[in-house]
Amino acid sequence: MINELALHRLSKLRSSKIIWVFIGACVFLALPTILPIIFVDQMAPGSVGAESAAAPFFMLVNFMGHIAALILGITTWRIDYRDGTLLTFAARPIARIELLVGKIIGSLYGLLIYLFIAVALYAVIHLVFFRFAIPGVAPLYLLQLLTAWLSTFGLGLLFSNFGNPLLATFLAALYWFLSIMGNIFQQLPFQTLQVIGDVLKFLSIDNNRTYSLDAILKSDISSVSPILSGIGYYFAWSVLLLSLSILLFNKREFINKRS
Amino acid sequence: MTVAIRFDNVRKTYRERGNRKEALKGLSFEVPSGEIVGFLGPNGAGKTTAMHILLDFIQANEGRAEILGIDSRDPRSREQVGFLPEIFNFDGFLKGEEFLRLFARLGGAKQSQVTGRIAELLEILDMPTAGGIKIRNYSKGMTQKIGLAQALIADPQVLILDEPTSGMDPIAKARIKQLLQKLRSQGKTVFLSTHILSDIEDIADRVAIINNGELLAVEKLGVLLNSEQSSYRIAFQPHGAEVIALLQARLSVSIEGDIATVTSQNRADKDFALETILRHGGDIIGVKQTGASLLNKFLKLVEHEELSDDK
Repeated sequence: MINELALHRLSKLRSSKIIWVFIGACVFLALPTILPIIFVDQMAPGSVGAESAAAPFFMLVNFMGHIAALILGITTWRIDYRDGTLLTFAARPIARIELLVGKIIGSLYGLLIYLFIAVALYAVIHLVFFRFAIPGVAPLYLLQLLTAWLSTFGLGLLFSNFGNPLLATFLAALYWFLSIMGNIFQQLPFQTLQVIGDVLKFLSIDNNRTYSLDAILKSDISSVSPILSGIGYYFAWSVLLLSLSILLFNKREFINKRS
Repeated sequence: MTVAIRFDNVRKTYRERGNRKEALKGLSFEVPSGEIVGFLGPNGAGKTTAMHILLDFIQANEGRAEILGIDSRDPRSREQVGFLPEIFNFDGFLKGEEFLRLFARLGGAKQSQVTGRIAELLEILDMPTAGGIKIRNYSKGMTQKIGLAQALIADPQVLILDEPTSGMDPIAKARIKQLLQKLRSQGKTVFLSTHILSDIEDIADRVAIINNGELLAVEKLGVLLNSEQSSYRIAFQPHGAEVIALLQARLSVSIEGDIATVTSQNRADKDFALETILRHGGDIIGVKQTGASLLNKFLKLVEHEELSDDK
């Protein structure tokens, strides 16, 4: 039953306008990041390393992944609630937790498809133009990406309980603002302000165990440890946010918004 | 008598802008199995709240609701339930058949039986080719019908329908009423909320009337209507003063221009009036029975008697 719900969510995503706008934006933004990878050999020799040329592409994949996760989190059940279609599902002999988990899994299928396309695209470019092996720590890096997105997804899902999608988006943007403020405070000379910066960074579900992209691409094994720490950190946040979302959904009153 | 649906002292309070609104004030009644029960009430009376508690969309503050003896908070209580919401709406990107297949699977129907069942339901609802059309291209009536098909797809024992004929043309309405009667003959229970009282009069066995969150009546339709006092109004053109005098001796007569109207409170008085008019001179324009309708009973119960057709 959960799988039926997940597949329905996925087919709903396929027919959603916002997803096609998102795909269009990805294609539009990806082109300028792919071109440096392709033409790195034509650039002044030694001025740009092959690994550095790939960095903008991964930064875009990462950023758009967070955007996708947020959209998916916010719309997981909220659109069905707004349309009144949630009632038709809820009237079936399905426990609420099953209903939400089915929809979450459907959304995560969408996120995995996005990651798969991005990785496949990079792999093709990498193998065709660079002809060197993809670093062994790359799967760990991808896992960290996924867990980071999962925490953003959880944030969207949690905020979708508190109001309409616009408000949820605003709240999520507030989290990114907290992260930026955290960075600023951490760099200030006073210790108290630095502690505030640490707290803001923690609350913003961002951390300083960043992806070490250059290190990964250069197969620097010393970067593995911070990645594992990052995976654990984001995973813990994801579990917390998803659990809270399920708890709130379980208590929620379903009212037909169209009647 | 087995009970399909039971409300037991169900209370529900909403908060609206800081104010508490008691939507249900200890609602208690039972819907026997195998009957069509009309659930009536003005807008805001608490009908939809009661239905939503029954389906666990919202939680009661007190009391409990049951379907086939299972607490409504238990998802198993919905195993034998088909539900059609007041305004049915579903993802337009799905074709009718895909939609019904999805809900058949969610309702636990066997895959082998689904195709035949879908065709059968679409045929019954007079939309045999609609299975291949996307829901977004359906008319309002077709959307409502596919919603009803969804409620029936898993062949449930209990149907909970909120305004099922909304948006349908008269032929479709007649077909739905026929279908509900057929379901009753198969032993299914239909709990039906509607504002169309004639639908209730046509098919319901029992009526529950609710207002301001309180149950005002729950009774067999026949009993409810028999409890209502009938009156008869006879309009006629008198040929002289004698007939008026004879009628006034026993009944109330009002005269407007050259038309007189005599009102009788029972059948005997009505027969007396008709006989007097015919014997002593008068052309009968019309005879109207008022009072013994569900509308009048409903209006009296919800304290809007001034709107009844005998006023």
